[in-house]
Amino acid sequence: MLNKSQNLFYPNYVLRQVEKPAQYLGYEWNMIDKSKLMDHGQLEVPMIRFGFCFPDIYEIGMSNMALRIIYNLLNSRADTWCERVFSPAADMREFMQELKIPLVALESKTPLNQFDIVGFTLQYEMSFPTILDMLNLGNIPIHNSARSNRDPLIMAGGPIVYNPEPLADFIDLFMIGDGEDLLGEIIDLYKTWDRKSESRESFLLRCTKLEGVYVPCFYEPEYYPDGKFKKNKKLYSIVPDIIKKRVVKDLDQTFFPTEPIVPNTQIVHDRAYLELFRGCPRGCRFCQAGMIYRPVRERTVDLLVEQAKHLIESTGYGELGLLSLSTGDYSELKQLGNYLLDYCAEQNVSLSLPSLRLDSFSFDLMSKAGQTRKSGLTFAPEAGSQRLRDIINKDIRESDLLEAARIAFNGGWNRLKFYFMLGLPFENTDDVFSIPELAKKVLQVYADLPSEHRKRKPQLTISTSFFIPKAWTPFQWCSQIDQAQMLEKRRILIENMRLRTINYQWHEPDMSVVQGFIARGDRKIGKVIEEVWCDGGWLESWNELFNYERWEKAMNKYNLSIDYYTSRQRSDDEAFPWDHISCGVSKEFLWSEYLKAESGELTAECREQCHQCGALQFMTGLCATHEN
Amino acid sequence: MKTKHNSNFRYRLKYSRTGVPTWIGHLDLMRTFQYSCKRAKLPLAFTQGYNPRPIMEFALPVGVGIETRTDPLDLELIEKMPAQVIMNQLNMKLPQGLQIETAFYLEFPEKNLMSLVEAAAYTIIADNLGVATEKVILANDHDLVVERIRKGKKRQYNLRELILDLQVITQNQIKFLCKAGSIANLRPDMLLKALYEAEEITKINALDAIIIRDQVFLKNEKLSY
Repeated sequence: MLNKSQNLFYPNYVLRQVEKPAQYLGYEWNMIDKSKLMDHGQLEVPMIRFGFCFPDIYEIGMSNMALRIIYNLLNSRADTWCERVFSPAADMREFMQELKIPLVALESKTPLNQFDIVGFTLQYEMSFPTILDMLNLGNIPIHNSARSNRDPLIMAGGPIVYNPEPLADFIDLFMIGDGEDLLGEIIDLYKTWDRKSESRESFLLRCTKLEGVYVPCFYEPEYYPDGKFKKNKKLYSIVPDIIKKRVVKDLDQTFFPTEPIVPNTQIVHDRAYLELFRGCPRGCRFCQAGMIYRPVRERTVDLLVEQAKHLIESTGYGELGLLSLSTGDYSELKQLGNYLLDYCAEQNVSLSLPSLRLDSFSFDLMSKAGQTRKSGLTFAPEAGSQRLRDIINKDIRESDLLEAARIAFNGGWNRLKFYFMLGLPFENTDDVFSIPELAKKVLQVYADLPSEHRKRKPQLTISTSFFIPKAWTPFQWCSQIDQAQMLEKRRILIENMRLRTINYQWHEPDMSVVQGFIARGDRKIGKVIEEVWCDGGWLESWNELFNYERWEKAMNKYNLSIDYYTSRQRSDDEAFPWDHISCGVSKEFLWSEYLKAESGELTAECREQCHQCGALQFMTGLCATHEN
Repeated sequence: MKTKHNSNFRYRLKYSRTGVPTWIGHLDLMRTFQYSCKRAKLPLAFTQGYNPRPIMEFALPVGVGIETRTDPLDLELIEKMPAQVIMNQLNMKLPQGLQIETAFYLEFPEKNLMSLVEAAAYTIIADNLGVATEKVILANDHDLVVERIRKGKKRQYNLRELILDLQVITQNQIKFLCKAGSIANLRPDMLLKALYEAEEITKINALDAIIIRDQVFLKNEKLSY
């Protein structure tokens, strides 16, 4: 009677010695527990056990939209129980190793190796060593070639699956594109796999018939004698030459979780989310998301409003966020914004707006939402000079920015944040200097205001990250700058922004280099990831655990040149390790965009004109409104 | 008598926590109660400002890893409704492990519930705890000084001055009444620390203990437990 400690799994003395112990315990509001269904033998067919793995710790993973969608989507099936698995933090990981506690799912505390299917979501490159670590903690062989019929099927999907090659030795099956329909098809097929009589290979071969499924062990890369990638060779004639991404055609008809889990502890993004649309009409040339999520597909206002109500009622959250790649481009933003503002005010919920377009309506909306006062306003010009903004196709004029700053200062927002990238293709020293110049112009805007509008001193945050060329963007051919260049550019900014009103934040160069060679890596990079993990790297996305020397050592061990992957400019006829994957956008379109970048020519957004990028083949969303 | 929010109605709820919510901190506990109250669609009174929160006051923060049985918390509503209904509605929307045990309307509400706290009663279960307590605490009357670093400063506490009554129940279980609140407060982990520092129980056994706060006593309440 005294100890009602149900389902805790870990001993109290462990829970008392780790930070945020509740992250390992589950049993949050809206968690789905199908154990009783299984205990009582009410099932005619066995329940498919799906372990959804997020290769980072709880507070990061629980904030992720893919997790929220897939968790509730799979659990809406009577024949499937999807549970969550996260990486432990360092303190808990030590206890697990010492006490031989395997990695388990939060819901049933079932060890990872007892699941039917284990699915990883790929959100950022630095999480790749964490995937190996989680497999290992879950007692699953990290190599796909070492797995037997007793081991779970290991899948992966998500935004950075468009270059899956660095993980080709570890993952059985990749899902390319939107997972909502494909996941169900894979589970249906999985149910036909008799593990006693059919080999793993034979089952995986059957999976390749599903559009959007990539099984890497059926392809073998070929290299030129100098080690350069030549092409991918199919090992069986029946597997597809090109694996085309899946697209959900009608977002209104696509599952969306209105009863997400409400963690007992605070997570990074502790709020309810609406997904307004997928895809982005803008076509910024550095942006991978803008290419791979095409075409733009919107949810209708009526459905979003209904979902907002359901979300707030089911969670009790005090904050509602709007999710999309560019919320200001939602076609009915005015109607939706006005409705949500009223609803949120009535419910004592604050509406959290992402950085919007710089027009007056956006300011009106933000002003009414009120919440932005505490966090300040964020602008993302990405580049300091007009020349460079034209090159990357970021359609923001300096006059727009300064006008927006003026409205912001007038409206009482004294804290402004500006995001820039350093090391963009074709960047010169003047472009770098233009960042502090722009910052000073913004401060001048404040100084020019009438004194009654200058009550609070302005505080500018200038934040820079280093540009990393990504697969499936017009800049996939481009050279990434090396550490020395990164440091030099950063030095210029530090020296030219020594003002008390400017706070300069930057990213560390070393991690950008590692992200760079993974992002455009081939299969050989898999060995490097494995080596780094063997050498003790497991949560490399965390600055305090990341260790560049480990990566450098691993690259040297396999005789791989970092420059080959990062700073080398590719020629137009180069074959890429990701050429057999297709996000719908053609390599020809990307190359034409690269050439336009070179000459500083803008490409109008999709709504104005179709540029024949290739996404038209999906015949849906914004593309379906074009005639040809 | 009214609270500072003139037209609001104040209720006192007593909650228990067991299982998973035992392992969250005080801020997360408040947050979880706020979300639960909103889900329960109670006519909540909200704070002013950019992030309105339900008006709610806890008697005594509870540390991570401590269960509760009847900890008081005050809740303000803008409409009067039967306390039983509030309790039932809220219990349907609380996560597993949290439960309202009793609820009543405060006819003469006093502000600042925290300042009313005087004492608390705890039960601790750990291997050999009863035997160790007998030896270290009950068999003599020496000072029981424990050091604790709080806000960067070392502070010493004489536990004997904080313990009002202590009983050994079994060789593994004790219960005690101690001072609690903002002026003098005994944390149960300090007691466990004194015992393992005296090497009467192991540190692991102390860390593995089940700690339960049975009651929180407010001003003018009878100290019986």
